This record gives sequence, C-alpha cells and structure tokens, in this order.
Amino acid sequence: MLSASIVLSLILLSPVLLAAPIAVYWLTNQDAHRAKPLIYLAVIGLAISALSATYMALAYPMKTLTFSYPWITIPPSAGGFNGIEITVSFVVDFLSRFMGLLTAWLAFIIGVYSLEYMAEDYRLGWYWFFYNLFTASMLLTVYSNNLLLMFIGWEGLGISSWALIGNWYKDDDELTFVGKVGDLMFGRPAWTTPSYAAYRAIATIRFGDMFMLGAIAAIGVLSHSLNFTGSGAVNWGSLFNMIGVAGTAALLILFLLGPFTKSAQFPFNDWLLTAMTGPTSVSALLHSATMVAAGVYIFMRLTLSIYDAGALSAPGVLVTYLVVIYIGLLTALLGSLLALAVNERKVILAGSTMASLGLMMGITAVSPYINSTVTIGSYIVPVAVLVAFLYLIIHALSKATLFLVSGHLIHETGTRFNAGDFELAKRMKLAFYSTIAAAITLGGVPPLAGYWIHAGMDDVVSSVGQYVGWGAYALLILASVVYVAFLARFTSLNFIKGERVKHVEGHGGLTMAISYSITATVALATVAIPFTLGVPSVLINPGLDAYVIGIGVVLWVIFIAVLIKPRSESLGGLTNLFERRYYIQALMDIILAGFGEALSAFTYLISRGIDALFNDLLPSLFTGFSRIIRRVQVGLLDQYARYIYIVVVVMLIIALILVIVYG
Amino acid sequence: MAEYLTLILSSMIGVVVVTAALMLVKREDYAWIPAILLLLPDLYTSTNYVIYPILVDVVIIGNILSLKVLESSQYRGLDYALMTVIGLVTSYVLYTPISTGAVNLAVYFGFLLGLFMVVSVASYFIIQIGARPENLDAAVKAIVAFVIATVLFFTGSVILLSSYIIGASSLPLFILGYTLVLLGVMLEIGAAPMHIWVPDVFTAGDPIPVSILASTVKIMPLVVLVKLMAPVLANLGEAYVSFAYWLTAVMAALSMIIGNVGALTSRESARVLAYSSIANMGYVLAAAAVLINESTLGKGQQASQALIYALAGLITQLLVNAAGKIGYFTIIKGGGKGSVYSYLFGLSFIGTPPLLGFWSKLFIILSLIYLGPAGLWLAIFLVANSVISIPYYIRVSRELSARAPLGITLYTVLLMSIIMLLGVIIPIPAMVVSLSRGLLSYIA
Repeated sequence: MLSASIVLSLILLSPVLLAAPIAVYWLTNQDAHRAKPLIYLAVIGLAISALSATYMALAYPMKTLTFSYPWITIPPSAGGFNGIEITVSFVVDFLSRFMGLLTAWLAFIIGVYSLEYMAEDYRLGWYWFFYNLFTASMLLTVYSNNLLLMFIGWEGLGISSWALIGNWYKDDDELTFVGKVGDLMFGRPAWTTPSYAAYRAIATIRFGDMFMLGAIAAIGVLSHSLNFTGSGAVNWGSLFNMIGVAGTAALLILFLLGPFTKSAQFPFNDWLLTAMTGPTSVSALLHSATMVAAGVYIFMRLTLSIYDAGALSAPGVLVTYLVVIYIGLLTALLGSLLALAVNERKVILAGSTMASLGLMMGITAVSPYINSTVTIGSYIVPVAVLVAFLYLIIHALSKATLFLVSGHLIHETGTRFNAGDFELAKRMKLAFYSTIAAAITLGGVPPLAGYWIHAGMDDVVSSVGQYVGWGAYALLILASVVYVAFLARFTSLNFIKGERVKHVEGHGGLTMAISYSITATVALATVAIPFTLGVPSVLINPGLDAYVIGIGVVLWVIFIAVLIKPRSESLGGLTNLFERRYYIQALMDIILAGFGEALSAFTYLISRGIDALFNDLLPSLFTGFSRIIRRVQVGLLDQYARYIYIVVVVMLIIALILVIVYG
Repeated sequence: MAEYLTLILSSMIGVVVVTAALMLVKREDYAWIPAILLLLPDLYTSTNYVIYPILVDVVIIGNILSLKVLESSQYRGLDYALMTVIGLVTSYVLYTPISTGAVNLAVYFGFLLGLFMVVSVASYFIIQIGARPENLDAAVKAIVAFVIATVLFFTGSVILLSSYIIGASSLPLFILGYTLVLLGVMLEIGAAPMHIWVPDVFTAGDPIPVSILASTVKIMPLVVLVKLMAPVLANLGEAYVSFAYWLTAVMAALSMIIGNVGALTSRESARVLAYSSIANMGYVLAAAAVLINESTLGKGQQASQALIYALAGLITQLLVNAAGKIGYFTIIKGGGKGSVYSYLFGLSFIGTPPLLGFWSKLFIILSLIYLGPAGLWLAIFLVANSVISIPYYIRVSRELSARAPLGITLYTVLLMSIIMLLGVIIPIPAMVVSLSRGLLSYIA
C-alpha cells in the first residue's frame, strides 16, 4: 500500500502541476492547435488525481483515518496563553472517501468533455489552469481535517470560480450572457455579462468568507485546536459551554455564512444564477461536485465533527440548526419555482441546483433533532447526514449530465434559450437519453435512486415534525413536486415540445456525447446504492411505505403531464417575479454595485488625499518652515541677542509649567 | 590620575614657553612643529582608552595644518599653541575622575567649568584670527554668543549643584538648572533653536577659524554636559532623568530638522555647512540624551549596549563632523578646489557605508534602539533626517569639486579624508565600540 502522503500529494498536486505548462505556454503563444498536447497533459493531471482518489478509496481500510504533519506551532507563553498547534491534517472518512472519488472523477470526465467543448477558445491557458486549480482546491477542502487548511482550499475555490465564471471576460458574445438583453429592472440592466457575473460571485462569496474566517479564528483561539476529528480535535462541548447559548449560535451562524454564500442559500443565491455566464463545462463542474457542494460538504463535516464530540444536542446548536432547516427548505422551494418559470436552459439548471442545495442543507440540519445514527463499515454516520450526502452524490452526477447536455445543445442550436422538438431528440439520441436518465434519477420517481433518497428525506423530516414544526415537511413536499415538474419541463421544451430549431450545427460532438452518456449511466446505476448500503432502515423501509409510494406515483403523473404539456399561461404575472429572480438580482446589483462604487469613491478619496499630502501639504509645510528658519537670520546682533533672550525665556516658561505639573 | 594631569599641565606650559621663545627669535612660523609634538603626551594613558585622545589629536593636527593655509595671522605662532592647549584640555576633560559627595562634587564641578572656560575663552581669540574688517561682524556675533553661553552654563551648573545638595525634593531646582545648562551647551555648540549665530558666522567669517569653531570647539561642551549630569542624576530619581532625557531628545530632534531643512533651502556652500553642523549637533545631542539615562538604565545587557553605542556614536559623530568641516572649509578657503575629496566628505556625512559617517550614525541609532520605545522614535526621526540631507550634501560636494587641491590644503584635506576612510577598515569602528566600553567608566 502506497503511503498516504504520496497518494494525497498525487491527488492534490498533479492537477495543478500538469496544468502549469499550458498556462505558461499560452502566455506567449495563443495557438489552440499547437497547445493540444499540453491540454492533454492537463487532463492527464486530472486522471492521475482521479485514479489516486480511487486507490485511496479502495486500498485504505473502511475506518476514519487521519494523516497529520506539523505545520504552525505557537508554544505556550507565561501570560496564561495555552499555545496553538496547527497541523497539516488530512482525513479519510465516510464523507471524504466518497466525496473525493466523486469530485476527482467528475472533474476528469468534464475535463474530457472540455477538450471538445473548449477546443476553439481564446483563453485556454487561463481556462485549464483555473479548471485544474478549481479541482485541486475542492479536493483539498474535501480531504483536509483542519479548518485552516480547509480554508485554503475554500479560498482556492473562490478565486478559481471568479476566474472561470469570467473566462469570457471580453463580454462580446450575447450567447454567454444571463437574462434578457435590453430588459431593465429599477433602471439597471436585467442581464448579466461574464465579467460582472464573476465580480458578483466573488463579492458574494467573500462576504461570507470574512465572517467564516473570523469564526475559524475564534474557534482556534478558544479551543486551541482547528481539527475536525482525531486526537486533539476541537472539543465542541467545552467550547459551547464556555460561550453559552447565544455565543454558540452566533459562532455557528458566522461560520455558516461561508457555506451559505458558497452553497447559494437564500438570499445569497443570485450569484449562482448569473454564474451561468461561464463556459458550460465550468457550470457543470461548479454545480455538481465542487464549489456549491463545498458549502454543504463543510456543513456536513462540521455536523459530523460536533456529533463526534457529543455536542450535537447543545441548545445553541439546536437553535442554529433550526434556522438552517428553514433557510435550506425555503431555498429549495424558491429555487424550484424559479426553475419552473425561466426560459434559459442553464438558468433552469442553476435554479435546480439552488433547490437541491437547499434540500441538502435543510436535511443535514435535521441531524441534532433526529439523533439516530447508522453504521456503515466501521463508520458511524448520523442518519440525516447520510441521506443528504447520498442526495449530494446523485445530484452531482445528474446535474453534471444535464449541464453537459445543455452545453452541447447550446453549441448545436446556437441559443441559450429553450428550443428543440422531437426532431432534435432523434438527431441527438445520446443527449435525449442522458437528459431523461438524469431527470428521472434526480426527480425522485420510483424506482430510481432519487426516489429512495427522497423517501429517506421524507422519513427524516416527518419524524421530527413535532419538534421543528410541520412547515418544514410542507416545504419539502412542495419543493419535491415543483422539482419534478421543472425537470419534465426542461426535458420537454428541449427535446419534445419546444420550438423547432431551424439551423443545427450537426457535426462533431462525439467526445461531449460520450462524456455525458457516461455520467448519465452512472447516475442511473446509483439505483444500486440504497440496496448495497446495508442499512435498509434509512432508505428502503421508508420507500416501501404505502404513503410514500403514493407520493412517488403522483410525481410520475406530474412528470408525464408536464412532459406532454410543458407550457402554462396560468402563472401569468408570477412569471415575471420568477424570471426576475424575486428581484434579489436587482437588490444584489444595487448593494454590490453600490458597495463597489462606494469602495472606488473611497479609494479615490484616499488617492486624492495622498496626492494632496505629497503635492501640496508637505511642500508648503516645508517651504513655510524653511522660510521661518531663514527669516530669523536678519544679520543684526541686537536682534540675535533678543532672539536668544526669547528662546531662553520660552524654555524657562516651559520648565516652569513642568515644575507646576510635576513639582 | 594625578600623574596624567601633571603630564598635561607640563605639556601645556611647554608649548606656551616654546612658542614664546620662537616668537622672541622671530621664528614663529615654525611654532606648529612643537605645537604638534607637545600635543602627543596626552596619549599617555591606558591603551584601553587611548582611542579618544588619538581622535582628538588628529582633529587638532588638522586644525593646525589648516591654520598654515592662512597667509596672515595676527597671532602667528600663538594660534598653534592655542590649538594645542585646547587639544590637551579636551583630551583631559573626559579623563577627569568622577567625584561624589557634596564637597568633592563642588570641586569636580569647578574643575569641569574651568576646562569649559579655557576652551570658550580660547575660541574668542580663534574667531578673530586673520580677521579683516568684513569678518569682524561675524567675530563679534560669535563672541557674544559664547559669552552668553558661558553665563547660561555656569548659572545652570551652580543651580544643578545646589539641587544635588538639597537632594530628592529638588525637582523644580533641577528643571531650572538643567534647562539653563542645556541651553548654554546648545548655544556654545550651535544647536537649534540656539543656533542663531551659526549661519552668519560660518558665512561671514574666515573659513579657517570657522572650521575650528565647527570642529574642535564642539567636543568639550558635550563631554562636560555628559560628565556633569552623571553624578548629579545618580543621586536623584527617575523623574529627574526622564525630564533631562526628554528635554535633550526633543532639542536633538528640533536641531536635526531645523538644520536639515535650513541646509536644504540654502544656496551658499558655507551656509549649507552651517546648517549641516546644526543638524550634526542634533545627532550628537541624541547620543548625549542616551548617556543621560545611565543612572536608571540598570545593569542589563541591553542597557550596557545602549550606553556603549551612545558613547561610541557621540565620539565618532563629533570626529566625523570635525573632519568633514575642516576638510570642507579648507577647500572653501582654497577656492573650492575639492576634487573627489569633496564627494568623499559628502558621502560620509550622508552616512554611506562603509565610510566613518555611516558608523557614527549607526552607533547612535543602535543606542537609541537599545534604549527602547523612548528612543525608538528618535532613531526613526534620525533616519528620516539622514534621507533629507542627501540632496544638499551632493550639491555642496559638486560645487566644491572644481579642481584638485594643492600644497598644504591638499595635506589637510588628505588627512581628513583618511579619517573618513577609517570606516572602510571594519576593525576600526569595531575597536571604537569595544574601547568605549572602557571609556564609559569615566562617565559613570
């Protein structure tokens, strides 16, 4: 067995190291044809990472493993300070074992897809470097057992997403925009260009990160540890005792602002929707196993860590998690409704991601209330975390598929809006197959994986209804119904009942088609998960409940109905509300743009101040001072004697004042 | 120590007698030879401490050589003897053993004041050497300033002595006394804001006597200041030391900035040098300010480092200032022919490593840093001032670099250049530091 340090190095470093050549080459020579071998090298980096993650998942024993190497050590001091020891610590447990596998493989497959999708791009060095950095950052976030180390990966995700969303920084292609060009909202454009979308993303994320970093610092200072698990992990119990209920809630909310913004929870969701300005391959990666999943993943890891410390039922935790349940499920409903109404392919999928993230957040947050665990291998996992994590996996696979298909559709049809009838489906059979596969897997219709996982969610939320209120359950059911409807609508409007596409490109696309067919087939195959997990109580038993089967049948009915009749006029005025994304967009634009304007005005003032200081104030002070110095030199002895007399008197007066003050 | 005093006294009497004899036989032009030779007995001291008299002697020899540049001197012969006397007294003042106890301290004070007086009175004569009617105004201004300075210094010293005798409850008396003493010293050495006479005298006076005022004469008052304060403050409390330190440090900062700004905005070389000397006195006062803390600093490693570097910086900065001023004014006297030497002096004054001017400033900065937060601001201020000084030293160097100097001017300038170049031989600055550890025993 290879040593963990080698495997981890391969996983984390090979994507970045092998993407460096294309990044450097592209600086001097923007020739896509000649750069091809270097681009393959970057994808090989992703492959090495994926194979290493597989090796890690298969060869290492099924128990929680931590690998620590010393990093920063601050020794205790005399002043009562206990010292801090920060280690480069990695963890391979139930979450990271499978999350790493999922991330690395999806990144590789989408990388292969990008070979064709991005073949003619004008910024390949930039794209591949940040694509691979994105992957490596996510893997660092996944495997790190230390909050500070995790935060490095976390920030790597932020910077890479900024770079990739704004990949087409020239803002010269209407096909890459989001929103209806020419539409105004509160006097501001309702459409978003890539460069502005990148700014919106990084500004929103950084807002949360500031508070998250503060919370990490507080955790480090108060508990003298930053590790999630293993010996010397954060002792959450004593930490929560120390800071009280309000303190616990405040600390957790500050920390969770990071996951909230990154995982696009309402009202921080809008950056996710405008992030569709990036290349579709980026959207596929960003929406499936990296970036947005990072927020939910860290929330799961935090929950697991608090659970391990036996502090999950602390009052402060219960209060915070209750808030998270409702924010998550509300986000799920709002995201689904949005996806039901908008008419841009990728924005529909973004809305669906938002909805799914809300579900994962909300379900994870049920953990402290349900208080039951299952044992898988030698891992002990809270039931709610398990359900949310399984949902994350099927969501990642399905969503990656849907994005990859929609990227191919945009290439073929030349529009980012829904378009395509059954003719198109016949021409693009693999795309049609993949879309249907992903939709039924994710939609929660029996007997596919989504159904069993939805049954698990149903069970989890309904069993705590009396503690968290039945509103949560209502939100879950509503969101599920709307969710399956917009999936059917997406499928129908692009392959069955959409407008006829006049001009279809129709050449190439095989690499792309193979890529999404693979992910789609894997998504279908996830149906095996509920039956091989070995814990029937969590998914199988709830799924066999008559009431839940009833819901499953209803979902099928809705799915078929919407496939047949995807358009509805009855939404009327509401469509406007959804299309304009609850006006959050306009609000964000006013806040973000206002913040940007205030910042630039402020920096302008500072630079003016510096100019004034060095161009006017200092020189005039200097000349004034030197004029005084020269003016006393009148050349007359009697004036000099008077001057000396005055200086002596002034000094004696100062001395006298000092005598009065101190004497 | 009595032996040493006898040696200095006999040497002093010797130089006066020999000079008188030479004048009697109208051979006063040769009086510079016995003047230099009879300066050397002051080197008879422990080899551990000999660095200080060597430096003093080199400066005095520079002065004597530069006096030979003067074509006419009404005291021809006597002027050399005067320099030797000043040199011997300046050497001795540091070695005066410290006395404690009221009566002994009165004697000690009297002795130091006497030495101060010798240099002060000698400078009345020096400023008049070779004076033509147009230099007379400058001479009168300088003498008036020196007289007032001496009065302030004496008055202050007497008040300080009574403060010492009264003891711990005499803070008002101490504040009054120290203020007057410091003002007197500042007027004597020409530190701002008591610098009023300096620009006029340096510009209007003859360059050679001015170079003596700018170099040798400045050593004695500062050493006396430091030596007077040590026994007085050793007997008084923290508040006294802190007052004396802050007053001196603020005056040092004031002197630096006024000197540098004045120099930066002056055109005439002599005037720039006048302000440069005001700034230099600011640097030296900063070193003196550190030494004033001697009694409260304690015995730690850091404290002794601060004191050692302060004394090394005080002595080296006085030497750098003296050598540079003698060099520059001799060049001015010779018609601005300074060649590369003028740049050498300029670079040394700026503090370019590894010239001696770099080490002197470094020692002072180090001593201020070792002093702790109370000295740190002044160290930063000093560095900022060194930066301000760069343009005007370059300007003066360029103006005074026309052609190569000749004859006795060349020898004087060469000797002064060698002093500046001593810093290049790293063991020499290192030696100054290690020897000042020994010299410290004469201050504390």
